[in-house]
Amino acid sequence: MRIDGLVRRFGGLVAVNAVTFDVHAGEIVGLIGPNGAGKTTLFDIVSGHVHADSGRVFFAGRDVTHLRASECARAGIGRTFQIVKPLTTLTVHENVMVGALLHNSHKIAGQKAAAIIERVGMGALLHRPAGSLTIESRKRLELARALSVQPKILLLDEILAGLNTSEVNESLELIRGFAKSDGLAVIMIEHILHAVMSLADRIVVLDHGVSIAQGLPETVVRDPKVIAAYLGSDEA
Amino acid sequence: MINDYYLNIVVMTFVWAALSGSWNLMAGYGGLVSLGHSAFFGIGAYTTAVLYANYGISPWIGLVVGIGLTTATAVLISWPCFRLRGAFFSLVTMVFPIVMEILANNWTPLTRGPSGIALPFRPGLDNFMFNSRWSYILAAFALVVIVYGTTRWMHRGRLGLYLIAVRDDQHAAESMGVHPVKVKLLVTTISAALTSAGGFLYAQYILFLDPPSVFSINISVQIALFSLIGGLGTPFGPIVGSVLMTPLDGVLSQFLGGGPRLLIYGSVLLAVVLVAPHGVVGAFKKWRQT
Amino acid sequence: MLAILPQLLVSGILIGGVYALASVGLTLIFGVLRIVNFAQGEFIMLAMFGAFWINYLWGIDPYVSALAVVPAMFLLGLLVERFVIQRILTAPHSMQIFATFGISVILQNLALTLWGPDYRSVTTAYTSKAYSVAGLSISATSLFAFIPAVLMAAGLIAFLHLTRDGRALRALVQNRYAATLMGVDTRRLNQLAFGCGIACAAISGCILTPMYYTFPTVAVDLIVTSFVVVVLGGMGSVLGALVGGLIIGVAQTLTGFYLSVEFKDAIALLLFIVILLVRPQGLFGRAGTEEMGMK
Repeated sequence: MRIDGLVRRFGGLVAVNAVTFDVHAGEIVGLIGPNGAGKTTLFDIVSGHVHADSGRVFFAGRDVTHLRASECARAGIGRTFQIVKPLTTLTVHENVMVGALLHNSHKIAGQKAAAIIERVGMGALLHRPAGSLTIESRKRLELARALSVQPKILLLDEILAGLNTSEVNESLELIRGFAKSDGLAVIMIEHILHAVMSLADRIVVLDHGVSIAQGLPETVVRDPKVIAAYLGSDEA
Repeated sequence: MINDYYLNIVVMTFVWAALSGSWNLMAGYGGLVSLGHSAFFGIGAYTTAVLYANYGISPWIGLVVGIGLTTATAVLISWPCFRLRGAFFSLVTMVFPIVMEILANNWTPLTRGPSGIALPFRPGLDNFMFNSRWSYILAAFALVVIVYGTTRWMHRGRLGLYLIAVRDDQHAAESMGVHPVKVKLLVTTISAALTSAGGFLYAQYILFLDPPSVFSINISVQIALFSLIGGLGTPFGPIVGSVLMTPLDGVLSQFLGGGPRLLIYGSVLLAVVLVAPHGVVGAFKKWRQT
Repeated sequence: MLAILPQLLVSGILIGGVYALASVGLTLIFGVLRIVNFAQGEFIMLAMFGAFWINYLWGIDPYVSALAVVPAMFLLGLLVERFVIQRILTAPHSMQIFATFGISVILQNLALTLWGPDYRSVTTAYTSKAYSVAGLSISATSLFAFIPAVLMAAGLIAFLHLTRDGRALRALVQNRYAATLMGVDTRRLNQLAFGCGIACAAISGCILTPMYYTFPTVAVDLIVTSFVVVVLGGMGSVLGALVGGLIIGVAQTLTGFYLSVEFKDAIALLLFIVILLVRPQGLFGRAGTEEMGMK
């Protein structure tokens, strides 16, 4: 995927300001930055939930900038939401089936959904109503749902937030597997910096909507601009 | 003659079950609470009546034309309103039958206005009119089966899952490739078509209609109530609700006028919402789990 | 044709005041509780009957009977809030609709059962009276409806801006979640808001009694117009309800004269659909845009 000069304004505020970077298959890009930096808005634009004021998004050889959300999903863009959105009337299995139905018949969708759920480690919760899940499971469900549309890129929005250490490590392993074994491209918004540093191949740092640094984790973390941005906010 | 009375109850039970079941598709799965479903019912009934009584056109054709007309109007009215959520959508639906009733009252050359239309009774399959109530029972039952089958097919099938997803969280649904407007349109079309068929059946059975009897809010209330009592969003719910309530309604209407009856139904509606929102089917499922 | 325009405008504005009256409670309840009260019209109807019976039995003027009717209905509102509304606040949207819709069915048919479908009317000393001002004819009842409407709206707005509770209510309207985080006592404010909403309905009812017929299904006539007014003005905005009412009043009067009487009713419906399509949040609305389906 190539993100090229994306701009989005809300009233007087420029939430995303000419952001440009790309992600390749099998690559994990960490998207970090202080709160309010525009990271989720960027995701919203890429996944089709919000319009870009200018700029383009190229994916798998097409210009997907102006596709609406359902079309982006069909094109292979899978995403999770920062504030988890389980479909509470349905079971875990049914939740994932919704996405699986995009490219499959009902029967196959059921099988594929079950397989995905198994893979993310929620096999035991297959027929549990989504509304009754713990936060960790809900996050896993978000991941499973993002996978259900048979994506070529995963947009993960703070998928590790609220998890304890062992849960974080499990999730990291899972994500690494998806990128390396399945060849998915991954963009991860994260605040748990050590996790992102260990997992990501590259980092993009956003501050007030502007991309202030990009590169290898070790390089970026030493960049004075990045340090200043974080110290300037209330994150240590 | 007593036998006839019971047979009539059976016919009406099935008709209400079919109507309520059609409404249930939109409201129970799509979260689109239509408070004006009587409009679809009335259009279906009036189309067939007008074509037959005024122009001698076979009711079979009237059925098809009625369904076409009803679905067309349903799509036209509801499409711009799908962007609205919940109560605002319902508000708009409330207006629709009022408009239709005004139309029916005033378009006198076509609809014979307030005096209503009486369908000439010429029994025969080609006219979809029968001497025996059993034939009507069969027809109504067939419609119930169609509605039930449709609901079952939808229940956790592709359309049903999509609808529930859109209802539970539209953004999440979209991120999984669901097109909210398309699925809402689809369920509205199906629901309107089936309700129209119910109206057709009613016209062919009762052989008389006037604007208040088919466009009344009471019909919309009863349709909703029966589904709620039985279990909203389940295939069996509307049938259970209708089986429980239609005979009761028959008995009550012997002693009570419209006002008191609706008062009871309104109270039951509120009670169900507060105490047993999952209806009989829901309660049964819970009991089975314990 | 144009000569009559000022008269039409005045009549339109006055009737608009009446519409505003009927809608203020609705918009307040939605703004704070995020619930569309389908029964709002029926509460107005109840108040109308209250005023009617007080007048019939004891000859008291409807405007005066408001002194009894309004507090009584405020209490009724509190009861309804406690036993119904509170319980459905977290329920799925469809259940909320059924609940208030159910209340409307109950109230309407209660009235039908108790008092029958007949149209009643209250005749007072000023029922047919009209004042002549600057060559324009102003009906007394419309004027007496307009003034309280504006006063009520002004009073409510003052309450919302100047008192602590009022400001808390406004906070709830603007951002429910944030307000709760800041320690606003939502439960008590919900009760207050709903009670006030019903009290507004009661005031409207008493004022409408000399102007309209009183009958159980009067809400059906009012309901479309009040919802149009609220949507036009913006759900949750009292000022919006006032302005919206005036606009609808004028629109209706003008259409009724220049086009035809049937169109008078249709124009409200038309405006309703147009607003919902073009600007669902209305003129002044910020509240509940998420509920209305906008992102």
